[in-house]
Amino acid sequence: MPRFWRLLLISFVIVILLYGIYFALGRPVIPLPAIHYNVYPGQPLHAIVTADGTNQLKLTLNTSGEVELTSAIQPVLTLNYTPDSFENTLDLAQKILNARKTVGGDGTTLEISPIVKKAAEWTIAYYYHIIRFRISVLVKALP
Amino acid sequence: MNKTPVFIKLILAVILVLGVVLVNQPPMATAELAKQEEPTNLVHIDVTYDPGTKTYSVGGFSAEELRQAGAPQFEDSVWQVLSLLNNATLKIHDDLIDVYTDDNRLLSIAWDGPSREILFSLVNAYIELGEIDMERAEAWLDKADIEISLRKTKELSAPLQIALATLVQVKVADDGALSVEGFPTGMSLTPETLALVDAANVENLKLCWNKGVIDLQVNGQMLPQATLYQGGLNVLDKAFGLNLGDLTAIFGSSFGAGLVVGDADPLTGECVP
Repeated sequence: MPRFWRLLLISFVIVILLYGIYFALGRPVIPLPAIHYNVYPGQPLHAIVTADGTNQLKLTLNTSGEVELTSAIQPVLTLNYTPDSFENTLDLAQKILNARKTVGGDGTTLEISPIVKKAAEWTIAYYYHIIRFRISVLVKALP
Repeated sequence: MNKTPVFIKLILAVILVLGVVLVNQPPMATAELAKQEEPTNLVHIDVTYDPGTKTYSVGGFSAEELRQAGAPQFEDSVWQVLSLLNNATLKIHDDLIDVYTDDNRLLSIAWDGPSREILFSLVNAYIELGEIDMERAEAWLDKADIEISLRKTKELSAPLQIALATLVQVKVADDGALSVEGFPTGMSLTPETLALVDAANVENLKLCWNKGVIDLQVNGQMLPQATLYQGGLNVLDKAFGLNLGDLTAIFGSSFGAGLVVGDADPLTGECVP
């Protein structure tokens, strides 16, 4: 067997093997490093971040279907989604945006390319079903 | 000779891992769903009153909060009657209405299907709002658990308890007029909102609130489930100055509404978590 195909086959088997182990472990969420973002007095977010006195808000996206907004001391809001409910939300948002343009007398309509839409849906489904990540944005209010 | 066993080992490893994966998969959902109890519409309202100051509190809301919300003030004759009572309780449960005063049963009335039918006929004869839909009335009252208690005390009343399994039917007519369970509310959508709803082709909407968890369906399509936390909402309240007040009663309640636009069939079903 040529070296190239041998390497390809071995790589493929290793990937399958690693993913099999990941799957057998129950597809745990892989945490990624948090993104830090500072807001200054006067910025619109500042009032929200400082509202409970902790000067910190964390937005966490868990691609297994959860978006969570928490302050340093308590949860604020959680959204649980599935690829289907995400797709429904996109459809509804598109309808409402177009309805607003129609009602506002704007002749244009927002048309999302089916390819772009499918790509977005597949990306969501991929990170929902296949590999799951958790990424956080930590917003801190500076004095 | 040296290379082949490596491949065989790798393939064996793959088979082994896949085997473990398959073994770890949850069994098919063949178990029967646990039989749920029949839905109940539970409403418990506690009212406390103080004839001395002529103030009252309902469902955990203070006299001041009620006054700000436009709650009515009672005449002296009503306060005189109330001052004679220490407490009174009305209970509607199963097929009975019980009234207690000062912890003694005052009366008990049959509240079964035939007796309700007589009552609905009487109400239909005397009110001008519109005919009571017997089927809907039965959906609301057949499995109802209603308790209204009056207590003479200066204490704040207990938080409102609402758990409605039956979906409240809301209808938006072609001219935007809103009706609830067939009764006109006198409110209507603005022409702009109605035009937006028409243009977006929204035909129906089902909203369920269960102690902070919101499930929403638009045209039968499920949207992401949102969970609001009372403490967290207080953060937003402070940030935006919303003056939402004490939301304990709302966060202890569950209810749902089905809204239809135009001549579509009303949404039925329940909001049982």
